[in-house]
Amino acid sequence: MLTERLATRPGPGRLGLASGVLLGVVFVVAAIPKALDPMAFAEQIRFEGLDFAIPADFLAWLVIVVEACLGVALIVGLRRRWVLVPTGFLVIFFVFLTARSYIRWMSGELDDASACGCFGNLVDRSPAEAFWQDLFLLVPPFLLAAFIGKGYAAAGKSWRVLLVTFATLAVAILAWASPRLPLDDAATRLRVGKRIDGFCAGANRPGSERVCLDILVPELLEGRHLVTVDALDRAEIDETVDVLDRAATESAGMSVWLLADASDEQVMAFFWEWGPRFEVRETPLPLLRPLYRMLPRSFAVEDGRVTRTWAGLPEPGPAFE
Amino acid sequence: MKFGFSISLSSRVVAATLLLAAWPLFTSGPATARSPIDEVQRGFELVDDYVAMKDGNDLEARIYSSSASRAILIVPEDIMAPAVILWPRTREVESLKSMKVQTLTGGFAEVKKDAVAALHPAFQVVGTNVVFDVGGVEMRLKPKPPLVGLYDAPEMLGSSAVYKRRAEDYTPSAEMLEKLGRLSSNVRVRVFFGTWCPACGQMVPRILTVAENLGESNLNFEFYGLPKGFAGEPEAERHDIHSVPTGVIFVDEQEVGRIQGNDWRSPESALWNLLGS
Repeated sequence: MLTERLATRPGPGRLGLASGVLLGVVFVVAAIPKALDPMAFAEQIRFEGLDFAIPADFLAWLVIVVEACLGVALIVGLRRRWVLVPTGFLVIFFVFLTARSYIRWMSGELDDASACGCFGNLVDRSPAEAFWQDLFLLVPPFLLAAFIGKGYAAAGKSWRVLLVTFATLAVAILAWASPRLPLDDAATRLRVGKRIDGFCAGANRPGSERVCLDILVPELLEGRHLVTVDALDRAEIDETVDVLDRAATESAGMSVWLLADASDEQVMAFFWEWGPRFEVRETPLPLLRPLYRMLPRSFAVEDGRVTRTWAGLPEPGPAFE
Repeated sequence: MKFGFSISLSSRVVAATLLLAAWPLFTSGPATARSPIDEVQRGFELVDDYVAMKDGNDLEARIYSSSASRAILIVPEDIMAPAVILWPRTREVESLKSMKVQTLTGGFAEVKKDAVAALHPAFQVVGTNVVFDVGGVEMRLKPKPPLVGLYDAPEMLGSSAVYKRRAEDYTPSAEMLEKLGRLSSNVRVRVFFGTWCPACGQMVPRILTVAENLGESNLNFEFYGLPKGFAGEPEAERHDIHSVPTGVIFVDEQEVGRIQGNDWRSPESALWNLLGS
């Protein structure tokens, strides 16, 4: 086979091994945030229209597991055909995704905020950044790992395979269970201590539009606030309204906000339907999406800094100590 | 006195249960619309969000919103026309006795006890309009269009009650104002804003306060309103504006810098930092 012949060429073996390790690290670093929030990755798959044959949720889980498996295999030096061939396909898949986003962005079909979430919601990349980073981080290391070096790490194969198996199982279980685990602070950009002016969407460069939460809700920069992120058309929105109304009524010296990706018309209809005692602010989805795994999600802000978070609606009782 | 028959325990339990279940039928009166104004309703503040229409024509009116009850109060300028109150969630529409509605200084209003003159059919939300009928006359609340184009400070303060109220709440640094007032160059500050923009709602009133305080100086302020989604708007493109609020500062008609977003939190300090050097 071509790969076997090329792989056994004399050459800087360590370069091939190191490239494989680098690629493996990239895969693992990309897989973990996606495992923490597989739903976001599934949404991206739907957005890209890739769920034409396989349901997006299952495809997301599968890609995460395969990516982790191949990543760990490369890190432990298992540069065998059963690793390198799927790795090649995965590299092509990711570069294809980011290239497609890049082309659509250049044609004006996508904005800066609609990058492929190939690194999950924790990393903010524009379509251009995603494409060029993937191209240089994935392709050269793959080519070096696949075709340079003395070939296969035959020695100590069993413990390597065992390690890969355990790691793959662990990631598979994590990706399956994580939506039910209290991992929101780890899986999203919203966590205690973060400043609200750090929650932004869009590219930070001249000629581009970048929107940050402190511009959309400048009131959060001063004083105490309770904020919930939700969707106005969610079936259980009445529960959100009740909880936030109660919070707005019972808590002196604190403002209550609902952030939602909604049009002017939807916000207005919501106001007239519910008469909420809290403020509703339109916030674009690219800014909101990295802040939650599931809706609703809530947080307390004091003088522009997040002091507390809740998965779901805020619990009864004082939000501030 | 003994009864001529005995009633079993189970029958008594059934009878008691039926009686309890039927109790509301005996105690509830006919269904009536809620009259929410049982006490003085305070805390109505002037808002800029809506314009009122009557029979398809613009209605000169002040529109207030209550943060406590969330009701919307429409007070026509024509004192012969009744004020109307709309209740979100219950969709109730009530016209009020004029003498029971009191407008206060500072853009506030109160509604006294027993203010309801008449109840009207529930309002409907049609797109972005709230449509209701008061005594056979169709009335409508629709979103106020954004301010677009060039304005000076007095025009801005006259066109927005919210801006005016917030401008009055801001106290700039006297020291900075004095320094800015002593500048000898001709300075023009063009502030691009949007009335739909929350940050502008916070920052532009502060700039207006500074502008009013520097009225006699060499600093001239002008305000350019942009529509929502202003990409492609000629004036925004000409000045390369990508976000609001953005102030472009000219000295002797040469651009010397820009102030954006929350950097306007203290306009006098931001301007001095740019111009003082």
